[in-house]
Amino acid sequence: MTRINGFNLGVYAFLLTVALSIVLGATAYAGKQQLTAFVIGIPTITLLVFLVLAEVTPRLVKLTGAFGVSEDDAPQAAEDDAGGSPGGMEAGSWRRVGIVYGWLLLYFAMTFVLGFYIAIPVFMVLFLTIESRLIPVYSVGVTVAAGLPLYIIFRLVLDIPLWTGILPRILPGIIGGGTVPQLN
Amino acid sequence: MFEAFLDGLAGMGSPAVIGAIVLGTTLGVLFGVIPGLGSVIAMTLILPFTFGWDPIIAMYVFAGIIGTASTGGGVPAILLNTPGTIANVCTTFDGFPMTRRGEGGRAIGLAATASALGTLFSIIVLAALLPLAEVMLRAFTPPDFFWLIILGLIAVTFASRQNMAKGLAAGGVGILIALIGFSPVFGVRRYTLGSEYLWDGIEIVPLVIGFFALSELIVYTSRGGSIARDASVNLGGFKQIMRGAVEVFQYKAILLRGSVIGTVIGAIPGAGGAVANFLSYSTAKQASKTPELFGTGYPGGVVASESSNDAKDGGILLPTLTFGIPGNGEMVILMGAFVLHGIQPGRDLLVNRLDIVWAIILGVIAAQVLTTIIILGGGAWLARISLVPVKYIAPFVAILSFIGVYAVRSNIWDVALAVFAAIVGFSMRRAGFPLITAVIGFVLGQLAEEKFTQSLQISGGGYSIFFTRPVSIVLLLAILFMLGWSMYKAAKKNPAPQAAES
Repeated sequence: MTRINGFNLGVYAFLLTVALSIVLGATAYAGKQQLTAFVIGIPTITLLVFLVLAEVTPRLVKLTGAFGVSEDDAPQAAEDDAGGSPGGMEAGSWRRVGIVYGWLLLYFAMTFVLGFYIAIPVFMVLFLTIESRLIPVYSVGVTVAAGLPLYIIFRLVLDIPLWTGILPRILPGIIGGGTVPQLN
Repeated sequence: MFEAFLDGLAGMGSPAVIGAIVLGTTLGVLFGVIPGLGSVIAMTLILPFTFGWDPIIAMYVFAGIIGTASTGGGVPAILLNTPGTIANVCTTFDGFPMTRRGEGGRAIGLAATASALGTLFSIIVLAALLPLAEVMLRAFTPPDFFWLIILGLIAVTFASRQNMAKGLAAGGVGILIALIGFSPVFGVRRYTLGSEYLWDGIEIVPLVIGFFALSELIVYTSRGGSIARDASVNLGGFKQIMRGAVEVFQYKAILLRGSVIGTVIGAIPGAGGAVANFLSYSTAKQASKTPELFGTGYPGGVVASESSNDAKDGGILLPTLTFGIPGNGEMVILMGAFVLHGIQPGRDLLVNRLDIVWAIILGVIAAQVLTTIIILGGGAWLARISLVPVKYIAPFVAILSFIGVYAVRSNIWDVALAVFAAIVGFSMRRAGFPLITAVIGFVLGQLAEEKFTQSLQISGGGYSIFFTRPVSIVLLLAILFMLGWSMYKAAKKNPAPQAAES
């Protein structure tokens, strides 16, 4: 008996939600404005429903072979996508994936609140010390050695105005400048 | 066209162009040498920073990366038995045994020269075919373009040899996402859910950075360790490198065959360097009078592999420049660069922006020459870069990605979108969805809608226009063939339930 892959189901459900939102949303638009959403969206939804059914119905899993669907196909597709990673999709355990994504979220949160100038050195020191297991002195050294060229290239040479964080908006005048663009 | 070529050649002397080629080449070699990174991530990371640059300069940078990554990837394949990119896998078969014999330098010389000659061959073919492509484009009408976009999506999925349903579904979702925001066809904003952020639609830069650079970061950082593990680099001296460089000409037939295979396979959307690499190697082995030598450190094996994976560069540029159909990850990012710089591939590019076309062609050639010099001079040093543990590379990729995404529009929510796209991209990859079709769908989505609507305007609302024009019929037949062939092959691989049960 084929085991149902809950993770795959979750991904199908997410993509199905996106596709359904666009197709149902298209009904609100007049005439030809909705056509492309229907022409592309309906076959896409059909395929995704087919994939969901294939996942939950073991007999259909075999039938889906007729469309080239097979779980062991995933690594190959991932290799081509990643621009040639010979290691392919050999990601670590879910725990490790969660930790790494947690680092990304932490870095974004720090950038959002404190801005790039503070978030970059803090993130680098924390990441190199905790994740890369460098001793703190080395972490600070690498951060300074890498951070200075980054500052020179992006701020002084390319003159890219970097985000200074939401904090200056809350505490005006302390760190200086910056507002959050309107989201709604 | 010849005038534009001469202008491009003259422009190559300017410091900005030289700087762009050096930057592109350096990035291409470094990202090619480090297994797991590759040209797509290099192009993705540099993409946002080119915003605001002269488009010609930006194209030289991208050409530099396109022309060099698989050449750089040959170095760790030969010296460390670890292919830098997937298109260098066959190089390990003979390159590494040569290194173990103390002939690493010879193999490097063979690989670098074969790569350079393969690239040169394919670029000459590309330049020769461009005027013909321009004539061919005149025969294409809006319904033909619509089918061509669909064919491009299906061809990329088909060429990956599996996951047809997932590939097509990902492509469909990509097209649907592209419909969000302002529609230049109808002059209205759609599917924005009332959010001002979505007025301009989903931006391409955060999407590709999240999908490619950050999701790859999650993959290799969660895996840990350094990808290349063997530090026993044995080059055998500079004389040996030069010996290998000259020795390539003893394998003229293999070199020519590899270059032709690379160019032809490269021109097929989705096939790419890996397919060309395996096909060239296996064909060279089959055609050889001494096939038993392949895999034992035979120089011809290195030539077959490296000539083909670089010869794909010219082939793969053909559908991208002429029809705007990107055939692989590199071309998707190049299309993203076209979007960012307001360049329209196809007739407009081939007639009005030949300077861009020649910047890419000349950039690839110049970068390849520069790479050959770098690799012949510093192959062993480059191979040691492969040994840097990924845990030290990860924070730099994250920092560059965030700054790059923010730099394009100075909008912090774009960074949030990239972080979200990273987990979506990672999850889709893990569930077996080819991301490349999703991004191709996204890049071509608005064009697909434009051509679809134009077709209906021409026909006065009748759908028969999609099935009556000769070019459309040919494209439709190609689509049906690919779908039918894929289903037939999969059905043969997985017998029907009753048969399997009985």
